[in-house]
Amino acid sequence: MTATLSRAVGPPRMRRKAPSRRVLLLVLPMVVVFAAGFAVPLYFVVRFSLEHFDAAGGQPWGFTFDQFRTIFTTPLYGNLILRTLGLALATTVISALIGYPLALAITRGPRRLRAPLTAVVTIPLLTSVVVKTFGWQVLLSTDGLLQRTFDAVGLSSVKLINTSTGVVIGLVHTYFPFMVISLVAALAALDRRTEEAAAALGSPPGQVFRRVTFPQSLDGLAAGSALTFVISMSALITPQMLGGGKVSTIVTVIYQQATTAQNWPLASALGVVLLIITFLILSLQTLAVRRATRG
Amino acid sequence: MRPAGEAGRRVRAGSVVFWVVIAVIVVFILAPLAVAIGSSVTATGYLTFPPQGFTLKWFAAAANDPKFLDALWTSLELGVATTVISVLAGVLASYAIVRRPGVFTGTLEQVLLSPILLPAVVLGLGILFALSLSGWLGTFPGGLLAHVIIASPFVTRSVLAGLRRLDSALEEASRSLGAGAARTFCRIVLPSLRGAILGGAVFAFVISFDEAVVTLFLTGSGFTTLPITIFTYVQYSNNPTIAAVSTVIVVVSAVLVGLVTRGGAQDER
Repeated sequence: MTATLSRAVGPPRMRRKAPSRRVLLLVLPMVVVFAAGFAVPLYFVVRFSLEHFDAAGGQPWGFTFDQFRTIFTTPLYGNLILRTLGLALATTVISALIGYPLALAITRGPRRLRAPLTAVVTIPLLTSVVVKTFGWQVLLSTDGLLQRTFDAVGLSSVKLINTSTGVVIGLVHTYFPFMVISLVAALAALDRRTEEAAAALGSPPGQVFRRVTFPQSLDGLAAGSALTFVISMSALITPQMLGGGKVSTIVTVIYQQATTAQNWPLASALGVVLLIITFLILSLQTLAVRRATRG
Repeated sequence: MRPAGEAGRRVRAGSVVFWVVIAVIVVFILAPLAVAIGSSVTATGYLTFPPQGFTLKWFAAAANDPKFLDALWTSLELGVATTVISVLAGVLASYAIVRRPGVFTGTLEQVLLSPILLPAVVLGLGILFALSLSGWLGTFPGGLLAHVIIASPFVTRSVLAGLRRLDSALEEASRSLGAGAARTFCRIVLPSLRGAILGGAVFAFVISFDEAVVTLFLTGSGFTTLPITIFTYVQYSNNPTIAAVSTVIVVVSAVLVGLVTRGGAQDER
């Protein structure tokens, strides 16, 4: 509110005093960095995705949709995209299931638990994904604590390391904080008086939650889900370390094609596909929120 | 307001179940970190959890391994350089964006924040192309460029928020009392932004220090970071030294985050 107000009222007066050359000077360092490290690299990804494989590296630039044709006509890549979306969907759903209670505990639980629970969410967010995933590797391995526990309770058919199950466990652990942060923001912004009114009018707690709290937190849930989905879809370290080469996703294939196979055009085309899916999901979420607030 | 009778019992049972679920989730969150730290003191020659016996020799082994020391040093240098550049360039750009709103600065804000949502793998791929075509692949400056792109949005976001909370009347007062633009910026704006800059800076450092995805595309014989060294090491070795290295990383990140959250809490007071 204050931000929009000062944006609408304050600056125009100041704009007259300062020439826009000063603005250009202020933004110049960041613009230079982003031109070299952002615009040019993205251009290369798009450019290489329209290239023949044999032309990679130094030959005259060609132009072809071959890479995209390969991706969309080979079942191998179709399955790869489906598997990637499936892993991201599973990660998002489980993150919502464990993130919601945690967000409730942070916003509605006892005050003294708020700081420790927030720290519990923040610490993994700021611990290197390599370290976290290494911890999971030890836990999930064939003679690891978790796999032995599974074996002991008769779930020995469930294998954890080098499987999709293990990868989803690692992905949930790495990315659920994004879900919690969105939900905490939504639950904290929610007008508590609506809950109190429902309770005062005799609704039991369960009903207050179902009819009042939950519907009002849907925006936060949608935002958290979209974010968790696109970020877990783009994970590289987790499927690489917990999948052991047996669980490939769009991203692990991009990595292999770019480094080991040196097939830059195919890697780029897969990168463009990933970008488009990311963009679609984020726009869908923005659209949904906009429609909800308008209606 | 105490719930009575059967409904009350149901509520209390419900809340017990709720807190058990929370406890299980907390264990799930902390488990891999506990494992990484716990298995660093095992007396066995291979990684295992719970640890068997107690020894600190893996920390000594890590401290004496030039591979880890060099990587740690590179990661620290990279983190500091990334933070300095992100803060300097980020504060200037944010100031222009907030105080001179327009189509150009509005678009610029979107672009400067977009690496947060862009798939890191696409960025890594593009920077790999750009650096290898220009001959900078596997060098420190090349890695630095990538890290500034990844980390600076967090500085920019934090400083933008700080600036938008700041009352521009303060600056106008300073200007009308005869202070120049530069003097107003240094004496009024920067001190008021201390918290936002510090928060963004620590975040940028931690992001850079932990970054693995984009860096994985860019490492070469002459340039590798600590997370990448760990990533490569665990692919072929089951040696507890890696747990000792991981413990150091967890402690460094936790201390930094603790410092900031404490500073933030003091700011709010």
